[in-house]
Amino acid sequence: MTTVLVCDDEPVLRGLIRATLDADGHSLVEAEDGEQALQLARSVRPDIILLDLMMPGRTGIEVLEELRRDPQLGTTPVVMLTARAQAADRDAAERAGADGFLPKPFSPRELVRVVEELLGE
Amino acid sequence: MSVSPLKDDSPAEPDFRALFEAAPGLYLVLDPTFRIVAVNDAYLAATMTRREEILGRDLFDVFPDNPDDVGATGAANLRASLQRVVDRRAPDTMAVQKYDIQRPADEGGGFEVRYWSPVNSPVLDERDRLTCIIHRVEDVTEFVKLEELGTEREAVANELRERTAKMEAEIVARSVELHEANEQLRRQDAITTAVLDATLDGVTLVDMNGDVLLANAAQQRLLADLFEVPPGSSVDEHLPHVLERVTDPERFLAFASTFTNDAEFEGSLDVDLRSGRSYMLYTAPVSAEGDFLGRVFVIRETTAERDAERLKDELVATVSHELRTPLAGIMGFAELLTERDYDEQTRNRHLRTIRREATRLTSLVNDFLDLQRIESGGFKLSLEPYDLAELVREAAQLYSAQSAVHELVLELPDEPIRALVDRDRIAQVLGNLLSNAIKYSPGGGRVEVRLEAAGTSACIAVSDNGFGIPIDQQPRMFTKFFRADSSDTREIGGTGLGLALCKEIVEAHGGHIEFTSIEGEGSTFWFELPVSTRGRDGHKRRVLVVEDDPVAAELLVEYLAPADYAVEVARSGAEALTRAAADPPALICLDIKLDGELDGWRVLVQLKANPVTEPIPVVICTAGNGRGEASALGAADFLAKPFSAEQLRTAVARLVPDGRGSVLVVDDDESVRSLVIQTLDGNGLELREAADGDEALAKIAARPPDAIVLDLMMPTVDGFEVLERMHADATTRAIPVVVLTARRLTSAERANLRRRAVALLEKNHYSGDELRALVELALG
Repeated sequence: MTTVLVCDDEPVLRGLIRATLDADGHSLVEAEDGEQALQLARSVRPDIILLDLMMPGRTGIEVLEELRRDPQLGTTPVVMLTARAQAADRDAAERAGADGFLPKPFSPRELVRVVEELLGE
Repeated sequence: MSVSPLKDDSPAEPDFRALFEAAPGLYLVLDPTFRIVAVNDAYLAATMTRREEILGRDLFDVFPDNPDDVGATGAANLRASLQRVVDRRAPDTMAVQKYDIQRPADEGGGFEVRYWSPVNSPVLDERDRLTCIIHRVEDVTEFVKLEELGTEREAVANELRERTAKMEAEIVARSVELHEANEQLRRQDAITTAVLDATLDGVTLVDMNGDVLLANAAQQRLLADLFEVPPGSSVDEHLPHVLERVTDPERFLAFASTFTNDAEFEGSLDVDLRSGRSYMLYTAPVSAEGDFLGRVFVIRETTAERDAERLKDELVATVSHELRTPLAGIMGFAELLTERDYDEQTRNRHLRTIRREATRLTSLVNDFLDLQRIESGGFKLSLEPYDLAELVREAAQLYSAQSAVHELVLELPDEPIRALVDRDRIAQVLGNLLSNAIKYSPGGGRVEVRLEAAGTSACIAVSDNGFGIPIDQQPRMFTKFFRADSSDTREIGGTGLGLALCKEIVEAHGGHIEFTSIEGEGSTFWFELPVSTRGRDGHKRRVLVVEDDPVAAELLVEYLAPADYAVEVARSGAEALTRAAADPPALICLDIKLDGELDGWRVLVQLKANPVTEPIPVVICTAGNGRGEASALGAADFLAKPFSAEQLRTAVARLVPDGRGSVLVVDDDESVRSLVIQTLDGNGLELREAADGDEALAKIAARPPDAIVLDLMMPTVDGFEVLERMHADATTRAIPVVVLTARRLTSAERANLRRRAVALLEKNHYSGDELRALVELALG
């Protein structure tokens, strides 16, 4: 049983991720914004984090940078979800230490593949 | 000749021959056939002849003409003179003759130039017969030569004088040419400077030593503006200022060293400043007629372009994000549904999500396209008078069934409130506000719509007692794609475009939209629209014409109508008194000779006796006399028929109080005209209108307004031409103009307009307050 932390301000996307991963035996924790995501990450210590890039308040990159500074979360795999397809965003995410990158709209199959690959399953 | 014998006792008779031969003059004696019979010594000496050689010979044999002198006339003239002496027996004085003399062979031969002044005198005997002719000459050669020399000298002097004069004239002409050339150069130079100074880009020419040869006004302004470079400082002094302020000084230095080291280098650099501004620096070598002059530098501020570019990028990113989110939901759930087995309940839940997201995507696309259309100006309101109360009722009806937990309350006035609106668009605004009110108060409660009219505007307010808007988010409520965000509202969908759309629509109507909100208590969004309060003629000054002759009355109406007076006619004195007392006009034109019991004088007396009509200025318009009476009875002016339209209009304009000023609204679009008039109405302004450029010019000529609101795009005579013609006429040049245009202007047009118009307003982007403020400004 792995724990997946999902952070996206769009309820429909959180719903989609839950519907996709629930059945595969993952336990899902949802956060609506970056602040909430950081709090939950520290308390639940997820196995993997799915992080939206474009959110009101703290952006996904800012959250990622802060995660990487945390000694206990520094190595947790993070997949960035974003509607932005620009290379610049991808580069910024990679520089900040993202392990995967899923552009919206993404296929649930692809989501499962990326998550399982990073979890070493 | 016989010589009588000398007597011894008489004194010795002189020897006449010897005397003759020794005489100092030059004498020759000829017989009537012109043969030489005697010659004295002086003559022989002068003619280089010897007596023995010439005595007895024909004169012309001895003295032939100089064969080298083809024009010689000496011999012929002498013969003619001698012949005259023969014929007339009288002396003949000849004019000075050129008669060249043969030089003796031992003296070189040939002819010598000689001039002679000859006199030929007859010698007659006692019977009056011609015995001989005395030919006396004077050698005037030297004299003639001297004279010739003088003439020659004079000629030379004259020529010299002429040449001097010619040279002087040439010098004058040359200096005029030079002056003109200089003047042309100077003018050319002034034009070049003016053009450079009118250029928005900074232009500098720097020579190889780094000295500034030329710098236009923009250059100095931009240097001061961007880098705080003090005016008049050298290029070397600029550099630290520049390096201190650019975000990437190394890149700047690298560029500088490129053009310093490579004389041929031409290129540009985009430079960002720490202040957030940006500019482009371009440089190229400059040569003129093969000489290397130096380097030209052009600075162009690009901050606005950069910002626009950045905004565009952000918008693209936002739109992309907004569109991809519902799309991700639709595609993801569709894939799950096709690939996994779900029970019916889960399947239906997923399908509902797909439908919801598809709807969201549709309205997003619709709203976005709508907004784009409004912003690009490609959207036209179709304005019609409409009862706002009716509009509110219709809109509310659509939403009353939408929620079971809300109570929709309408507060409407009893009377209809007429406004010129695009019905569908205002319904769209109301719909958006109602839908927001319902969405953001999911707990239910009262949603209230209140319509109120106050003066020249109506206000529609939609209130809810929902979540309210956090104070820090309030300033961004009308920003595209902005959605109020709090833990309560996160589940509420929306495009983030609704309020931005509302704002555009309301402002296009000349109104404005605002809101008040307290977090946790609710929000009230309200918008104001201008409304009609009076009929169109209500904006005009009323003039009452009292005239029993319909033709004369019609003439006055025609005279006054182009100046935008609302003219009413009273056919009798009694009618005039009643109407003036019931609804006092701004002015009365009163004829004296009237049918009925009351003539003009009596009417005037009664008007002045009634406190209601007493202040109305009266202009007596009569074919008769009575200027003195008119003034004594209180008439304001006296016009003797026939008078011109101009005289009448001048008299009326002088007397009709102008209120706060008259404004002429010129637009070929009736609905825009109405909108502008509605917006400006109620401020004590007299509002006049014209539907095209021609009408506008006629009305301006008939009575110059205090300000003009002018559309640019009109058929036939457009706004530009109206401005042009107004400018050409000294009486209209100073009238302030507010230009209202839906058209995107070129920068040249904008500059041209800025010189003449007080202000520029774009039709889709001005608010009523803005227009009012500009007109106020124009009126001073």
